[in-house]
Amino acid sequence: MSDSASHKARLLADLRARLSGQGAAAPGQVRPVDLNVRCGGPHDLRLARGRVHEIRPDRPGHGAAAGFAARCLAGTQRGDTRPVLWVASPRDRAEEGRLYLPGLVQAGLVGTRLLTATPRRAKDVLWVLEEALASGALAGVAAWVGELGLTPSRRLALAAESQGTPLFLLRPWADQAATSVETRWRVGPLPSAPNLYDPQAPGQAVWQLTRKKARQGPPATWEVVCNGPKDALDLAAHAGDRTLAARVWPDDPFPDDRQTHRHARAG
Amino acid sequence: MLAIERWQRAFGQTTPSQTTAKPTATPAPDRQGRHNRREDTHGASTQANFSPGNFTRKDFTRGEIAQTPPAVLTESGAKGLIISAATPAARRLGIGPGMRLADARAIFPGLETAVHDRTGDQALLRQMADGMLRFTPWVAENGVDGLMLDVTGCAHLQGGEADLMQAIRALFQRAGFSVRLGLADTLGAAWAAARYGGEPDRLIAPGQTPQALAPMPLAALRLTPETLAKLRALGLKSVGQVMGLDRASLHRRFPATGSGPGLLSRLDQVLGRVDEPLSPRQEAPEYRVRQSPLEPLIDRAGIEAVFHELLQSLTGMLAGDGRGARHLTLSAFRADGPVIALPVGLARASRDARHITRLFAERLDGIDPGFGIDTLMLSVETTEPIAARQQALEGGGAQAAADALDQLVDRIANRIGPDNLTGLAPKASHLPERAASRQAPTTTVSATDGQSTTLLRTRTTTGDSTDTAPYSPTGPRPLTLFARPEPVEVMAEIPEGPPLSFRWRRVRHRVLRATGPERLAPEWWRDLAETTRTRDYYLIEDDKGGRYWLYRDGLYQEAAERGQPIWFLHGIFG
Repeated sequence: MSDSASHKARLLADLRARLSGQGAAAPGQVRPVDLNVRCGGPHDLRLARGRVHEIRPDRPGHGAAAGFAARCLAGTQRGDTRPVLWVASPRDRAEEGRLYLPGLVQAGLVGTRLLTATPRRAKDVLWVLEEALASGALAGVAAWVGELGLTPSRRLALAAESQGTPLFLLRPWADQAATSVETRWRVGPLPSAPNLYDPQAPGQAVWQLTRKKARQGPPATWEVVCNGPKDALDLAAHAGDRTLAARVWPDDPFPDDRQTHRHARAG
Repeated sequence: MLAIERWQRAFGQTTPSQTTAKPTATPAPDRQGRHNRREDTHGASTQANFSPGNFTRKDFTRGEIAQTPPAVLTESGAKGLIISAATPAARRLGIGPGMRLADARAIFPGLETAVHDRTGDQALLRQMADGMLRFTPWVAENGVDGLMLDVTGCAHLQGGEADLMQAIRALFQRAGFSVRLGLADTLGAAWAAARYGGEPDRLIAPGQTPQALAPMPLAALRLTPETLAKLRALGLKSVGQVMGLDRASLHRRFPATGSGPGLLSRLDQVLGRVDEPLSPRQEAPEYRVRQSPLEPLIDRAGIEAVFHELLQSLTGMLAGDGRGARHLTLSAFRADGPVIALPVGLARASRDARHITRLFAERLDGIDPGFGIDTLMLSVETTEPIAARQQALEGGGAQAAADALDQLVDRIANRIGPDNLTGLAPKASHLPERAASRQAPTTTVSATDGQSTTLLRTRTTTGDSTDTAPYSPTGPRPLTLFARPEPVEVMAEIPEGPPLSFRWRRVRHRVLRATGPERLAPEWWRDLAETTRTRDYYLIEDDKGGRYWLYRDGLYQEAAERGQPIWFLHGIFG
């Protein structure tokens, strides 16, 4: 009885929030405007600007890794008027599909500030990335990159650092080559959150984010619920009905680097 | 082994001159006087050497060709192989174009032959036309063996008309061609001078056209064969004989036929009484700077030095006119003929020398100097007005960011091709694959709330206003969409219902949850109803959490008329 009552209450709250375009924010909490990569908990889920972040799927044939990259890229667009760039080779397009604007918009990206580049040669992919990072004209860059050695990854890291532009590298799931990156992630989908309106239908996507390696911070795992584009990624409960766990929102998920970046640009 | 030369006839060409004579207020029946100091033409008769063996064109000079054994080019005709071109040695034996190869072999059994490559000829002629751009921006091909140049106002750059002809001749000779040149006031006269001028380089002085043409045969007037035959029957042989005849009767007796203009209009053209414009191979660029160093350029350093000088003067010209370049081409004219053209496009008009230099910098390596580059030319095909910009004191950050973005877009687009760097624009269409289009990015700075922001403005090329309507997705849409939907094996309820399981890329996925269908029908107003069937889209989640967009193409109700439905995987959700 109480179960169905609480279900009803949640449903109503969600509907109200949707109607007002606010998303399901609990009252009394400050909604950060900045970014949607906003998770907290035992270890802060943070992605630094001006660094290279490597994202690999845990197995082939799903879109969770690309979805995570899209959320990260959308995060860089918040509070930044510069466009973002997504680079894919023709082979990636055949393998992963073409980037699809309506879906990207639903993932939170601003479509008018999105560029896509499709270099034919693998060499050009790295060239484009390096140019884009070093130009300082972009808020963030994402790319599918097949083979990547240590030296090219080091070059990308330096280019990212020079202007404080983050790079999200989508790598093949089986690739084991050593790369010089700030963080390395393994992303996989989990059964989605319950759909309040139709139990038979998929709900919000749930991802398992595993930080395999980070320069600052130990390896860690998060399970996040991927809410609408305007909302935060929420921590999911580890078991049971996946009711939304308490949210912890850091003030600025891209800490420090932005400050130094601003100073660098101002100087 | 075998070298065959073809004697090709030349071309002539006309140009309005640099005279400053004003058009008279009267109807000006005689425009000849007005054009006096004007048209230059040169015809070149080019001889191409065919080298099936180990010879290249450079192996020959004109003299050597004259000494080569008799050789011909052949084409298959109605009655076997027909000779289409013959070397001078063959001609001396009485072998000429139009003859059957069998007959020629009877005259000279040791005749060398090769198949005539007309496409190759055309390409060669085009290449030579490009090479002529170093002398004038107005160049046209004429027939299969001629070039026409409008050299109005260009001759003085080479030191005069005679020197210009000398320079053209030298260029062709170096490349191993023999040419005949004609230069005259009108296009027709120059054509005639090159072919019937009597000497290899025929320069008809300004105003001397009637006298110069008078002794030439009537064929010099570019008449149709029928007209020529008629004239011959009347005993008329030279141009001078028809020049004084009554215009009305000329018009009546030798009218225009299906194969060409009549005698009178040809006569008027050749004498400059009516204008005969040259239609150049390509539009003359808006701006064009060129430099011919004393010594040919043979390395990158030299090319760069000249390029910088050209760019300096070009940006100066652009700044003076308040314009910026959108499309530029750097043309390197090699001493042995070929032209290397490097086109570069800019997202936004610019005259920033540093930026343009960077765009060209890495492509300069693409110039193979060969035996040296004798002329370097920088031309601007498209310009747009840009205002001189004041250095921003405050809030210049957005402008600087916009500039940086423009330059980045230019650099990437010129490296990977403009088509491969795009922005995405929404389109009002129900068909998922039509709901977004790729468009060239252009940047704009918009001031909102006193603050400048950089936006990627996508340019709409169609006038279809519905295509630019704001996009409002009706359902969940995947992050990536396959350009060609991938067929999947599906186990599903009939006639309707989501799949229970499906096999995609050889992996079986068990469906746990699904939502749908979202029925999308072809848009009848786009005339796609014939090729596109109604689709039912389902958002599928498999047992491992992967989320996919599947659709059934077609309906079971319509299976009789439109075939069995097929399942596809169209996209993957994030």
